[in-house]
Amino acid sequence: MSKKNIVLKSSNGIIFEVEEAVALQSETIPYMIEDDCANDTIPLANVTGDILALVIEYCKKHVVVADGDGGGSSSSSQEDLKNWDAQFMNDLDQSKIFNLLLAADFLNIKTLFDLTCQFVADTMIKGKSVEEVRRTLNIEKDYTSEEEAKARQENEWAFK
Amino acid sequence: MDETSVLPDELLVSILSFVPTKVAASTSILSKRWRFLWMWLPKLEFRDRDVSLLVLRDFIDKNLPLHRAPVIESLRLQLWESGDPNIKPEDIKRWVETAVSRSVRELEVSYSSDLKENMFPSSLFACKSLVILKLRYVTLMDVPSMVCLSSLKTLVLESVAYADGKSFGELLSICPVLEDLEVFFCEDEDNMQKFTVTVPSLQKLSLSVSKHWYLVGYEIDTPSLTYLKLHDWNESPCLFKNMPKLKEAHVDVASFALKSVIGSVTSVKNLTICSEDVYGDGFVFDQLEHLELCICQDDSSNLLAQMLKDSPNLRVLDISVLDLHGDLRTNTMVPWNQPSSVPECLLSSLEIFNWAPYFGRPQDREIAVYLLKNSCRLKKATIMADTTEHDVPNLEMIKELTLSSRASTTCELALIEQRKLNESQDRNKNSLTLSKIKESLTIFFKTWTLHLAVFLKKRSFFFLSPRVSSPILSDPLLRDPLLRFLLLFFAGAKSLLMSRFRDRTEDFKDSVRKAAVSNGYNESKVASTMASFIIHKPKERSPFTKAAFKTLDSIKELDQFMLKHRKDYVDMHRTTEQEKDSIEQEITAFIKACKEQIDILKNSIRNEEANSKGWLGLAADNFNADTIAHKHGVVLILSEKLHSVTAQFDKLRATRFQDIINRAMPRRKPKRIAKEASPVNATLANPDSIEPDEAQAQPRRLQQQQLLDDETQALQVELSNLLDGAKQTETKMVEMSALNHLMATHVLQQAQQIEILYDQAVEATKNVELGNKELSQAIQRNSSSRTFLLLFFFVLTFSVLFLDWYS
Repeated sequence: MSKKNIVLKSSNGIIFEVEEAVALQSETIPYMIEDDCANDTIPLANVTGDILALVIEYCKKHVVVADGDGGGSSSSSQEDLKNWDAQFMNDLDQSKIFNLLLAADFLNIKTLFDLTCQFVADTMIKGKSVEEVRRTLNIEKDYTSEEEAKARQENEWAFK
Repeated sequence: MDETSVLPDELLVSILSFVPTKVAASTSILSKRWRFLWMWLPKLEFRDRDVSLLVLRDFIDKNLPLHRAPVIESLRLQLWESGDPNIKPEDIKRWVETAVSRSVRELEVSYSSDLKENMFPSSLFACKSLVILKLRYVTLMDVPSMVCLSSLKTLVLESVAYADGKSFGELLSICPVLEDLEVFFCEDEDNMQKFTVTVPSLQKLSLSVSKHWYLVGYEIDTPSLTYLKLHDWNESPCLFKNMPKLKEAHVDVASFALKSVIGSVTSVKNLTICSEDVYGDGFVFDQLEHLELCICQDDSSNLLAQMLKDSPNLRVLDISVLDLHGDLRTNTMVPWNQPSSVPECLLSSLEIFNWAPYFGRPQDREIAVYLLKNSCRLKKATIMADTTEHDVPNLEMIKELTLSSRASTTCELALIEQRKLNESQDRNKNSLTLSKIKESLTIFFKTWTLHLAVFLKKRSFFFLSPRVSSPILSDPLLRDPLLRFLLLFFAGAKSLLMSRFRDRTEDFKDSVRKAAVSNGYNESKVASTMASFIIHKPKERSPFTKAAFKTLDSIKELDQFMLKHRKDYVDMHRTTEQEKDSIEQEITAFIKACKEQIDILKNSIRNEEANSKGWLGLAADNFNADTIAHKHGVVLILSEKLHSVTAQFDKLRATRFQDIINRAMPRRKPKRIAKEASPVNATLANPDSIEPDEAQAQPRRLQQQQLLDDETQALQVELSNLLDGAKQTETKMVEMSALNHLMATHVLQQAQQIEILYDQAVEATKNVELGNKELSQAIQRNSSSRTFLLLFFFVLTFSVLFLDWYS
């Protein structure tokens, strides 16, 4: 199998060269390859260099494992991968996480998208009070207190 | 800045889909943007119980019809009612109707209530989008017949009440592409006395029939089935049509059902089985590779025998107890009728054999021994011992099986090397490592005995009988860390000696077998004799072993004694020199006693050796040679142990003297190194290093005594100086306390004065207040007198005027 490399270019002009298998975890990239096959460099206008680096780090980690044991991946390597994922997410700050989510959505990498969503859901929403969620996500409260009371009353079950 | 503002709404909805619907709905009060975000969720899950259901009902009624997602992918309702129903079946009907109108793909309704009413709109049974339908505890009735669930692939019916007895069959009949069906019939299904599962497309079927249900019979006709899970302890007749594609079956049934289902499952590759009886003759499981057999029933052992006989290509055998099956303490599995000839699968195909949990009962043992002995291609046998619930000692069980593996007589020698028979595993890691240690110890001991025997040059030829090793295995001496150390030493010799020893054992066993057969024993009798020969090892301990144990105990005691007194002995200020000397004497006496005991042991061995010579035939001699080798080993270990303890003691003594010397030297430089090196690691100390230590200790002693005296005198002087200083300090302290007292008195006086001042101040305030009052009174009087005066003058003026006018 000849290893073909694919060159990705971030919005701020940083070039990344990755193996095809790594890049093809994104379901968007194949379309882009088809669309400009003349040019080897694929421009990703929505993704900045630092975020793209993260995406590639994730894809590299996951492509190795998928290759490594031909489908029937052992439970221990699955476990390792899970731990790696958790560590990967834990090391990121909030704005990076949101940008990563955008990138995963744009590049259509299902596992990364799910991982990021799950992480946001678990760490920023689940098990927190409304005030805490507002603080964590930096959401400005634009309700008047009457409006808030009304919304609260309409969704009473959710606050029981 | 609002960090979520970079994310479009769709992504926020995606995030919300990872939290429970209830949490997602609670985000509606975060901000205006979030107000209706959760209503785009494609999957909805509502679960609650009892009184909260009232609130939930309002919530669903208000929100579900207005839900914004165009397609409701899944709707799950888990509503638990324990008293009067808060949610009525018509509520559920309404919600299901809404979901169906939004092209629901997956619908789950769990509703525990006593109300037996229809809660499903007829539109549900015509829903073209529905792929998964799960119903639990609900009542099913009035299933229309002219419609069809054209996409339904998975159907789960758990404890559903079928109101008119027909709705079960009717529901199945409108599912043309159903692939996966799970049915759990509830305890007492009064309206239904028989049922039929006729689904040509069905691939997976899980069927559970309760034991207490009065059932006339049932019929299963599913020709495409690949997976069958059947749980049926109901004694009702049943009929299974052919299932040629069946690959995997899980059959947990009463004897009646077993006999009807067994013909349909002969094509399986994987089979899990638990039943109370054997099945009829004439079935061959020629594809069966993996068999799991539950041994919770009395007759399980014979079912096993039959399955082994009928499965010629079995590769993996699991003997287990299925979840929630039988209490083994009350289970009295009968000893099996040993197969008259060895099953074909044992001879040709069985590679993996797992037994978990293994209880080590005689009937278990018999089977395990038989399987290990006869499985020629066995690569791995895993016995998971259950020691937590059953009082079969772990060590015993593992020992038995370790030994039984070596009883193998029909296996070829080359195969034995391939096997890994002592792969005893346990659920927790500790016992796993323990068994591994035991395994290595067994190996070690064999080599070690061999080594010793060679060393003693008692016999030119010998073999190692398992019988000799069995009492040794239980010997606690072998768990000593020292021995593990020795094990490393012997590891080199191991590989060389192992093969030879094994060859010999097998040769011996073969010859025994031949001899037995030529004497008219049949195969099984020989096997059982061999087994009993192997398993029932001598229980009583010989006087030698007892003595050895006693010595070991006293050495241990000595060790502990030393540990206890170590601090007293080494520390300078704790005890007087006399006390230390007495400790020393005691220990010396102790060591001497131990030495004597060991000597006695040695002598007894020698006597035995002398007695055994030419006493019996060759066999007895061989046996004795090994025993003596073992005993020599024991004595060696004991003296080694004693040696290490002595070494420890010597070190302590050295430390003590070192301290004394240090004290004789200038006091500013205490040498701590010697102290720190005290006997933490002494247990493993090399015996060689002990000799010089001991030799040095004695000559040092006299010198040290003198130094000690000088030191004591110096110390006395210093102490008296210290005492003077202390006395001076005391006087000063007394002075200080007197001064303190004086000061306290002054402070007290001051406090009194302050109090008096305070009282005076209070009085003054009162007086001022009084004065104020009087002043105000005076002012009042003043003003009233003024008015009076004014009036008086006025009247006077008028009267003067009047008088003037009058006159």
